Amino acid sequence: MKRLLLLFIDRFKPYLVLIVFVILSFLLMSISENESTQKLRALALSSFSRVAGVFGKLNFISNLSSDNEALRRKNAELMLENNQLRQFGVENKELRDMLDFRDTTSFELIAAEVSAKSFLADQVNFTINKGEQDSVKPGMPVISHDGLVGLVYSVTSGHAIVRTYKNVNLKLIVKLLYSGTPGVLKWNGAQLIMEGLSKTLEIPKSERVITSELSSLIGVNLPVGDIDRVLNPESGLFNNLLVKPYVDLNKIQNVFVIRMVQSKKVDEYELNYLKGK
Amino acid sequence: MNKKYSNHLFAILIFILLLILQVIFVPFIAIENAVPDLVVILIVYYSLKEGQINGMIFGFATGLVFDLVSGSLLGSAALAKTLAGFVAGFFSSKRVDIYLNTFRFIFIVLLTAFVNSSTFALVTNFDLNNNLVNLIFEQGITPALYTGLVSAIWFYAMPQKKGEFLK
Repeated sequence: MKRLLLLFIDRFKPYLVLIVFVILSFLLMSISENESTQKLRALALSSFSRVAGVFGKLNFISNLSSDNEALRRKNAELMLENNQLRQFGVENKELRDMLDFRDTTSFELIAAEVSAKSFLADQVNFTINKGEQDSVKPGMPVISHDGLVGLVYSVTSGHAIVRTYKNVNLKLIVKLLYSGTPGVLKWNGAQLIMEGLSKTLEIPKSERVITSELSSLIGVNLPVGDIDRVLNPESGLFNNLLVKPYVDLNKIQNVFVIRMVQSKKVDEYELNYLKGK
Repeated sequence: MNKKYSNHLFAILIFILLLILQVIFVPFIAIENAVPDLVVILIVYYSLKEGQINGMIFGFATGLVFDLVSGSLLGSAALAKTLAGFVAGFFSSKRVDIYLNTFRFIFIVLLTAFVNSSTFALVTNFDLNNNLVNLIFEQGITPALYTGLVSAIWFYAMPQKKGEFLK
Protein backbone atom coordinates (compact mmCIF):
# COMPACT_ATOMS: atom_id res chain seq x y z
CA MET A 1 0.00 0.00 0.00
CA LYS A 2 2.81 2.38 1.02
CA ARG A 3 4.72 1.45 -2.12
CA LEU A 4 1.62 2.12 -4.22
CA LEU A 5 1.20 5.51 -2.58
CA LEU A 6 4.85 6.40 -3.21
CA LEU A 7 4.48 5.30 -6.79
CA PHE A 8 1.39 7.47 -7.15
CA ILE A 9 3.17 10.50 -5.64
CA ASP A 10 6.19 9.96 -7.83
CA ARG A 11 4.08 9.61 -10.97
CA PHE A 12 1.86 12.62 -10.32
CA LYS A 13 4.34 14.83 -8.43
CA PRO A 14 4.02 17.88 -10.75
CA TYR A 15 0.21 17.75 -10.55
CA LEU A 16 0.28 17.45 -6.74
CA VAL A 17 2.69 20.40 -6.49
CA LEU A 18 0.41 22.38 -8.81
CA ILE A 19 -2.65 21.61 -6.63
CA VAL A 20 -0.76 22.70 -3.49
CA PHE A 21 0.27 26.01 -5.10
CA VAL A 22 -3.23 26.66 -6.47
CA ILE A 23 -4.73 26.13 -3.00
CA LEU A 24 -2.02 28.33 -1.47
CA SER A 25 -2.74 31.09 -4.01
CA PHE A 26 -6.47 31.06 -3.22
CA LEU A 27 -5.67 31.14 0.51
CA LEU A 28 -3.48 34.19 -0.08
CA MET A 29 -6.30 35.85 -2.03
CA SER A 30 -8.65 35.34 0.90
CA ILE A 31 -6.27 37.12 3.29
CA SER A 32 -5.22 39.81 0.81
CA GLU A 33 -6.91 42.65 2.71
CA ASN A 34 -5.90 41.53 6.24
CA GLU A 35 -3.99 43.96 8.45
CA SER A 36 -0.98 41.63 8.82
CA THR A 37 -0.85 41.14 5.03
CA GLN A 38 -0.93 44.91 4.57
CA LYS A 39 2.07 45.21 6.91
CA LEU A 40 3.96 42.58 4.91
CA ARG A 41 3.03 44.38 1.69
CA ALA A 42 4.24 47.68 3.16
CA LEU A 43 7.57 46.12 4.13
CA ALA A 44 8.09 44.59 0.66
CA LEU A 45 7.04 47.80 -1.05
CA SER A 46 9.36 49.90 1.07
CA SER A 47 12.39 47.68 0.34
CA PHE A 48 11.62 47.46 -3.37
CA SER A 49 10.93 51.19 -3.74
CA ARG A 50 14.38 52.04 -2.37
CA VAL A 51 16.01 50.00 -5.14
CA ALA A 52 13.55 51.04 -7.85
CA GLY A 53 13.84 54.69 -6.81
CA VAL A 54 17.47 54.84 -8.00
CA PHE A 55 16.53 53.62 -11.49
CA GLY A 56 13.39 55.76 -11.51
CA LYS A 57 15.56 58.82 -10.89
CA LEU A 58 17.68 58.04 -13.97
CA ASN A 59 14.54 57.67 -16.03
CA PHE A 60 13.15 60.89 -14.60
CA ILE A 61 16.28 62.84 -15.56
CA SER A 62 16.14 61.55 -19.16
CA ASN A 63 12.58 62.86 -19.51
CA LEU A 64 13.28 66.29 -18.05
CA SER A 65 13.77 68.22 -21.31
CA SER A 66 10.53 67.04 -22.93
CA ASP A 67 8.68 67.52 -19.63
CA ASN A 68 10.02 71.06 -19.34
CA GLU A 69 8.71 72.01 -22.76
CA ALA A 70 5.28 70.56 -22.03
CA LEU A 71 5.19 72.29 -18.64
CA ARG A 72 6.14 75.66 -20.15
CA ARG A 73 3.29 75.36 -22.60
CA LYS A 74 0.91 74.30 -19.84
CA ASN A 75 2.13 77.17 -17.68
CA ALA A 76 1.29 79.70 -20.36
CA GLU A 77 -2.18 78.20 -20.82
CA LEU A 78 -2.76 78.18 -17.07
CA MET A 79 -1.61 81.78 -16.76
CA LEU A 80 -4.32 82.85 -19.22
CA GLU A 81 -6.91 80.69 -17.47
CA ASN A 82 -5.79 81.92 -14.06
CA ASN A 83 -6.23 85.52 -15.14
CA GLN A 84 -9.80 84.83 -16.10
CA LEU A 85 -10.49 82.81 -12.95
CA ARG A 86 -9.07 85.60 -10.79
CA GLN A 87 -11.77 87.89 -12.09
CA PHE A 88 -14.43 85.26 -11.38
CA GLY A 89 -12.88 84.70 -7.93
CA VAL A 90 -13.24 88.35 -6.93
CA GLU A 91 -16.83 88.32 -8.09
CA ASN A 92 -17.46 85.01 -6.31
CA LYS A 93 -15.94 86.26 -3.03
CA GLU A 94 -18.21 89.28 -3.05
CA LEU A 95 -21.24 87.06 -3.58
CA ARG A 96 -20.11 84.60 -0.86
CA ASP A 97 -19.51 87.44 1.57
CA MET A 98 -23.01 88.65 0.85
CA LEU A 99 -24.38 85.16 1.67
CA ASP A 100 -21.97 84.61 4.65
CA PHE A 101 -20.54 81.33 3.18
CA ARG A 102 -17.36 79.70 4.46
CA ASP A 103 -14.54 78.97 2.00
CA THR A 104 -14.08 75.21 1.66
CA THR A 105 -12.15 75.08 -1.56
CA SER A 106 -8.50 75.35 -0.48
CA PHE A 107 -6.54 72.10 -0.28
CA GLU A 108 -3.03 71.35 0.81
CA LEU A 109 -1.07 69.52 -1.90
CA ILE A 110 1.87 67.16 -1.41
CA ALA A 111 4.09 66.96 -4.50
CA ALA A 112 5.34 63.44 -5.31
CA GLU A 113 7.18 61.57 -8.04
CA VAL A 114 6.03 58.25 -9.49
CA SER A 115 8.86 55.86 -8.68
CA ALA A 116 7.30 52.70 -10.16
CA LYS A 117 4.30 51.69 -12.26
CA SER A 118 2.57 48.35 -12.37
CA PHE A 119 0.74 47.94 -15.68
CA LEU A 120 -1.74 45.08 -15.77
CA ALA A 121 -4.79 45.03 -18.00
CA ASP A 122 -7.30 45.27 -15.18
CA GLN A 123 -5.30 47.49 -12.88
CA VAL A 124 -2.64 50.14 -13.15
CA ASN A 125 -1.03 50.97 -9.81
CA PHE A 126 1.69 53.51 -9.05
CA THR A 127 4.27 53.69 -6.32
CA ILE A 128 5.03 57.28 -5.27
CA ASN A 129 7.98 58.56 -3.26
CA LYS A 130 5.93 60.12 -0.44
CA GLY A 131 4.56 58.20 2.52
CA GLU A 132 3.55 58.38 6.16
CA GLN A 133 6.40 60.72 7.09
CA ASP A 134 4.96 63.26 4.62
CA SER A 135 1.45 62.85 6.12
CA VAL A 136 0.20 60.74 3.20
CA LYS A 137 -2.60 58.43 4.33
CA PRO A 138 -4.73 55.76 2.62
CA GLY A 139 -7.79 57.28 1.01
CA MET A 140 -6.20 60.57 -0.04
CA PRO A 141 -6.97 61.60 -3.65
CA VAL A 142 -4.07 61.83 -6.10
CA ILE A 143 -4.16 64.32 -8.97
CA SER A 144 -1.93 65.71 -11.69
CA HIS A 145 -2.15 69.11 -13.38
CA ASP A 146 -4.67 67.54 -15.79
CA GLY A 147 -7.05 65.89 -13.34
CA LEU A 148 -7.77 62.83 -11.21
CA VAL A 149 -5.14 60.07 -11.08
CA GLY A 150 -6.50 57.86 -8.31
CA LEU A 151 -6.51 57.20 -4.58
CA VAL A 152 -3.79 56.27 -2.11
CA TYR A 153 -4.26 52.58 -1.30
CA SER A 154 -1.51 51.76 1.20
CA VAL A 155 1.44 53.60 2.70
CA THR A 156 4.85 52.91 4.20
CA SER A 157 7.04 55.47 5.93
CA GLY A 158 8.54 56.79 2.67
CA HIS A 159 6.34 55.43 -0.12
CA ALA A 160 2.72 54.83 -1.05
CA ILE A 161 0.79 52.69 -3.54
CA VAL A 162 -1.77 54.58 -5.60
CA ARG A 163 -4.75 52.83 -7.14
CA THR A 164 -5.32 54.72 -10.39
CA TYR A 165 -8.67 55.19 -12.10
CA LYS A 166 -7.64 52.22 -14.28
CA ASN A 167 -8.35 49.70 -11.54
CA VAL A 168 -11.34 47.35 -11.54
CA ASN A 169 -11.48 47.63 -7.74
CA LEU A 170 -11.91 51.40 -7.73
CA LYS A 171 -15.46 52.66 -8.29
CA LEU A 172 -16.26 56.34 -7.83
CA ILE A 173 -19.40 58.45 -7.80
CA VAL A 174 -18.98 61.10 -10.48
CA LYS A 175 -21.28 63.59 -12.15
CA LEU A 176 -21.68 65.45 -15.42
CA LEU A 177 -20.50 69.01 -14.91
CA TYR A 178 -23.33 70.96 -16.55
CA SER A 179 -26.37 68.78 -15.88
CA GLY A 180 -25.11 67.55 -12.48
CA THR A 181 -26.37 64.01 -13.25
CA PRO A 182 -24.53 61.46 -11.07
CA GLY A 183 -23.22 58.08 -12.18
CA VAL A 184 -20.67 55.44 -11.23
CA LEU A 185 -17.21 55.62 -12.78
CA LYS A 186 -15.48 52.26 -13.24
CA TRP A 187 -12.68 50.66 -15.25
CA ASN A 188 -13.79 47.42 -16.92
CA GLY A 189 -10.33 46.28 -17.92
CA ALA A 190 -10.40 48.00 -21.30
CA GLN A 191 -12.48 51.16 -21.01
CA LEU A 192 -13.33 53.85 -18.49
CA ILE A 193 -17.10 53.88 -18.16
CA MET A 194 -19.67 56.07 -16.44
CA GLU A 195 -22.63 53.84 -15.60
CA GLY A 196 -26.21 54.25 -14.49
CA LEU A 197 -27.49 57.24 -16.48
CA SER A 198 -31.11 57.49 -17.47
CA LYS A 199 -31.93 56.54 -21.07
CA THR A 200 -33.98 59.71 -21.47
CA LEU A 201 -31.12 61.99 -20.47
CA GLU A 202 -29.69 64.06 -23.30
CA ILE A 203 -25.92 63.96 -23.19
CA PRO A 204 -23.96 66.46 -25.23
CA LYS A 205 -20.68 65.19 -26.65
CA SER A 206 -17.56 66.26 -24.75
CA GLU A 207 -19.56 66.95 -21.56
CA ARG A 208 -17.05 67.11 -18.68
CA VAL A 209 -17.07 64.42 -15.99
CA ILE A 210 -16.00 65.44 -12.47
CA THR A 211 -15.96 63.62 -9.13
CA SER A 212 -19.10 64.19 -7.10
CA GLU A 213 -19.44 65.57 -3.60
CA LEU A 214 -21.78 62.60 -3.00
CA SER A 215 -18.82 60.18 -3.19
CA SER A 216 -17.72 58.63 0.08
CA LEU A 217 -14.17 58.36 -1.31
CA ILE A 218 -13.58 61.73 -2.99
CA GLY A 219 -15.99 64.40 -1.84
CA VAL A 220 -14.55 67.26 -3.85
CA ASN A 221 -14.97 68.13 -7.51
CA LEU A 222 -11.93 66.96 -9.45
CA PRO A 223 -11.86 66.79 -13.26
CA VAL A 224 -11.85 63.21 -14.61
CA GLY A 225 -12.42 63.39 -18.36
CA ASP A 226 -14.78 64.09 -21.26
CA ILE A 227 -17.69 61.99 -22.47
CA ASP A 228 -16.76 60.30 -25.74
CA ARG A 229 -19.92 58.39 -26.66
CA VAL A 230 -22.82 56.26 -25.41
CA LEU A 231 -21.74 52.61 -25.37
CA ASN A 232 -25.20 51.03 -25.36
CA PRO A 233 -27.67 53.40 -27.06
CA GLU A 234 -30.13 50.61 -27.92
CA SER A 235 -29.77 48.15 -25.06
CA GLY A 236 -29.98 47.97 -21.28
CA LEU A 237 -32.03 49.93 -18.76
CA PHE A 238 -29.41 52.64 -18.28
CA ASN A 239 -26.90 54.37 -20.52
CA ASN A 240 -23.21 53.58 -20.13
CA LEU A 241 -20.91 56.34 -21.30
CA LEU A 242 -17.35 56.00 -22.50
CA VAL A 243 -15.14 58.50 -20.68
CA LYS A 244 -11.94 59.86 -22.21
CA PRO A 245 -9.72 60.62 -19.19
CA TYR A 246 -7.63 63.80 -19.04
CA VAL A 247 -4.65 62.11 -17.41
CA ASP A 248 -2.41 59.88 -19.53
CA LEU A 249 -1.14 57.27 -17.05
CA ASN A 250 1.58 56.09 -19.46
CA LYS A 251 3.37 59.45 -19.46
CA ILE A 252 2.71 60.81 -15.99
CA GLN A 253 5.75 61.22 -13.69
CA ASN A 254 4.73 63.92 -11.20
CA VAL A 255 1.59 63.89 -9.09
CA PHE A 256 0.04 65.70 -6.13
CA VAL A 257 -1.62 64.10 -3.14
CA ILE A 258 -4.48 66.15 -1.71
CA ARG A 259 -4.04 66.16 2.06
CA MET A 260 -7.56 65.18 2.98
CA VAL A 261 -9.36 61.95 3.79
CA GLN A 262 -12.99 62.05 2.88
CA SER A 263 -14.42 60.80 6.18
CA LYS A 264 -12.54 63.51 8.09
CA LYS A 265 -13.70 66.11 5.64
CA VAL A 266 -17.29 65.00 6.19
CA ASP A 267 -16.73 65.29 9.94
CA GLU A 268 -15.51 68.82 9.42
CA TYR A 269 -18.60 69.71 7.44
CA GLU A 270 -20.79 68.25 10.15
CA LEU A 271 -18.93 70.24 12.80
CA ASN A 272 -19.31 73.36 10.68
CA TYR A 273 -22.98 72.65 10.41
CA LEU A 274 -23.28 72.28 14.19
CA LYS A 275 -21.20 75.40 14.72
CA GLY A 276 -23.47 77.26 12.35
CA LYS A 277 -26.47 76.19 14.44
CA MET B 1 29.79 27.47 -4.83
CA ASN B 2 27.76 24.51 -6.05
CA LYS B 3 26.77 25.05 -9.71
CA LYS B 4 23.13 24.20 -8.98
CA TYR B 5 22.89 26.86 -6.26
CA SER B 6 24.69 29.44 -8.38
CA ASN B 7 22.11 28.83 -11.16
CA HIS B 8 19.24 29.52 -8.74
CA LEU B 9 20.97 32.61 -7.38
CA PHE B 10 21.58 33.87 -10.92
CA ALA B 11 17.87 33.40 -11.74
CA ILE B 12 16.88 35.38 -8.62
CA LEU B 13 19.23 38.24 -9.56
CA ILE B 14 17.87 38.32 -13.11
CA PHE B 15 14.34 38.33 -11.67
CA ILE B 16 15.07 41.41 -9.52
CA LEU B 17 16.53 43.19 -12.56
CA LEU B 18 13.52 42.25 -14.73
CA LEU B 19 11.08 43.34 -12.01
CA ILE B 20 12.71 46.78 -11.92
CA LEU B 21 12.56 46.96 -15.72
CA GLN B 22 8.92 45.82 -15.64
CA VAL B 23 7.70 48.52 -13.26
CA ILE B 24 9.90 51.44 -14.37
CA PHE B 25 10.70 51.16 -18.07
CA VAL B 26 8.13 48.75 -19.59
CA PRO B 27 5.15 51.12 -18.94
CA PHE B 28 6.71 53.49 -21.50
CA ILE B 29 6.21 50.92 -24.28
CA ALA B 30 2.62 50.10 -23.29
CA ILE B 31 0.22 49.81 -26.24
CA GLU B 32 -3.10 50.90 -24.76
CA ASN B 33 -2.90 48.81 -21.59
CA ALA B 34 -0.98 45.86 -22.97
CA VAL B 35 2.59 45.44 -21.77
CA PRO B 36 5.02 42.56 -22.27
CA ASP B 37 5.60 40.43 -19.16
CA LEU B 38 9.36 40.04 -18.92
CA VAL B 39 9.12 37.81 -15.85
CA VAL B 40 7.19 35.20 -17.89
CA ILE B 41 10.11 34.92 -20.32
CA LEU B 42 12.40 34.21 -17.37
CA ILE B 43 9.95 31.63 -15.97
CA VAL B 44 9.88 29.84 -19.35
CA TYR B 45 13.68 29.84 -19.52
CA TYR B 46 13.96 28.59 -15.92
CA SER B 47 11.29 25.89 -16.35
CA LEU B 48 12.92 24.56 -19.51
CA LYS B 49 16.29 24.37 -17.80
CA GLU B 50 15.29 23.22 -14.31
CA GLY B 51 12.13 21.19 -14.94
CA GLN B 52 8.41 21.50 -14.29
CA ILE B 53 8.37 21.39 -10.46
CA ASN B 54 11.21 23.90 -10.07
CA GLY B 55 9.51 26.06 -12.69
CA MET B 56 6.28 26.09 -10.67
CA ILE B 57 8.12 26.93 -7.44
CA PHE B 58 9.97 29.75 -9.20
CA GLY B 59 6.74 30.97 -10.82
CA PHE B 60 4.89 31.00 -7.48
CA ALA B 61 7.71 32.86 -5.70
CA THR B 62 8.16 35.49 -8.44
CA GLY B 63 4.38 35.96 -8.69
CA LEU B 64 4.10 36.46 -4.94
CA VAL B 65 6.85 39.09 -4.96
CA PHE B 66 5.13 40.80 -7.90
CA ASP B 67 1.82 40.83 -5.99
CA LEU B 68 3.50 42.34 -2.94
CA VAL B 69 5.24 45.19 -4.73
CA SER B 70 2.58 46.01 -7.34
CA GLY B 71 -0.44 46.33 -5.05
CA SER B 72 -2.49 43.76 -6.96
CA LEU B 73 -4.63 41.09 -5.28
CA LEU B 74 -2.25 38.94 -3.23
CA GLY B 75 -1.99 35.46 -4.77
CA SER B 76 -3.33 36.42 -8.21
CA ALA B 77 0.01 36.76 -9.99
CA ALA B 78 1.35 33.86 -7.88
CA LEU B 79 -1.39 31.60 -9.28
CA ALA B 80 -0.95 32.85 -12.85
CA LYS B 81 2.82 32.41 -12.80
CA THR B 82 2.61 28.96 -11.15
CA LEU B 83 0.45 27.85 -14.07
CA ALA B 84 2.95 29.49 -16.43
CA GLY B 85 5.75 27.43 -14.86
CA PHE B 86 3.58 24.31 -15.14
CA VAL B 87 2.86 24.84 -18.84
CA ALA B 88 6.45 25.76 -19.73
CA GLY B 89 7.71 22.79 -17.72
CA PHE B 90 5.92 20.40 -20.07
CA PHE B 91 8.56 21.18 -22.68
CA SER B 92 11.43 20.56 -20.32
CA SER B 93 13.64 17.65 -21.39
CA LYS B 94 17.24 16.47 -21.23
CA ARG B 95 17.83 18.08 -24.63
CA VAL B 96 17.12 21.60 -23.39
CA ASP B 97 18.84 23.17 -26.40
CA ILE B 98 16.04 21.86 -28.67
CA TYR B 99 13.75 24.45 -27.12
CA LEU B 100 16.10 27.09 -25.77
CA ASN B 101 18.15 27.68 -28.89
CA THR B 102 15.46 27.38 -31.53
CA PHE B 103 12.46 29.40 -32.55
CA ARG B 104 10.29 26.96 -30.54
CA PHE B 105 11.24 29.04 -27.51
CA ILE B 106 9.12 31.92 -28.88
CA PHE B 107 6.07 29.68 -29.26
CA ILE B 108 6.47 28.34 -25.72
CA VAL B 109 6.69 31.93 -24.45
CA LEU B 110 3.55 32.80 -26.44
CA LEU B 111 1.59 29.88 -25.00
CA THR B 112 2.85 30.41 -21.47
CA ALA B 113 2.22 34.18 -21.56
CA PHE B 114 -1.33 33.52 -22.79
CA VAL B 115 -2.00 31.12 -19.89
CA ASN B 116 -0.44 33.60 -17.47
CA SER B 117 -2.35 36.71 -18.57
CA SER B 118 -5.68 34.90 -19.09
CA THR B 119 -5.51 33.34 -15.61
CA PHE B 120 -4.63 36.68 -14.07
CA ALA B 121 -7.48 38.43 -15.91
CA LEU B 122 -10.01 35.77 -14.93
CA VAL B 123 -9.02 35.86 -11.26
CA THR B 124 -8.87 39.62 -10.84
CA ASN B 125 -11.49 40.83 -13.29
CA PHE B 126 -14.15 38.13 -13.39
CA ASP B 127 -17.56 39.72 -13.71
CA LEU B 128 -20.71 38.07 -15.04
CA ASN B 129 -21.52 41.29 -16.91
CA ASN B 130 -18.28 41.07 -18.88
CA ASN B 131 -17.96 39.17 -22.12
CA LEU B 132 -15.59 36.27 -21.41
CA VAL B 133 -14.30 36.08 -25.00
CA ASN B 134 -13.56 39.81 -24.99
CA LEU B 135 -11.86 39.50 -21.61
CA ILE B 136 -9.59 36.70 -22.81
CA PHE B 137 -8.87 38.47 -26.09
CA GLU B 138 -8.10 41.88 -24.62
CA GLN B 139 -6.34 40.81 -21.46
CA GLY B 140 -5.04 37.39 -22.46
CA ILE B 141 -4.05 37.34 -26.12
CA THR B 142 -2.83 40.93 -26.57
CA PRO B 143 -0.26 40.92 -23.71
CA ALA B 144 0.78 37.38 -24.75
CA LEU B 145 1.50 38.51 -28.32
CA TYR B 146 3.48 41.45 -27.00
CA THR B 147 5.48 39.19 -24.67
CA GLY B 148 6.09 36.79 -27.57
CA LEU B 149 7.33 39.68 -29.71
CA VAL B 150 9.78 40.79 -27.01
CA SER B 151 11.03 37.22 -26.59
CA ALA B 152 11.53 37.04 -30.38
CA ILE B 153 13.62 40.22 -30.29
CA TRP B 154 15.65 38.78 -27.41
CA PHE B 155 16.00 35.46 -29.25
CA TYR B 156 17.25 36.99 -32.50
CA ALA B 157 19.57 39.35 -30.63
CA MET B 158 21.32 36.43 -28.91
CA PRO B 159 24.35 35.02 -30.78
CA GLN B 160 23.47 31.67 -32.38
CA LYS B 161 25.67 28.95 -33.74
CA LYS B 162 25.26 28.48 -37.49
CA GLY B 163 22.35 26.20 -38.32
CA GLU B 164 20.88 26.06 -34.82
CA PHE B 165 17.88 28.07 -35.85
CA LEU B 166 16.77 25.27 -38.18
CA LYS B 167 16.98 22.50 -35.61
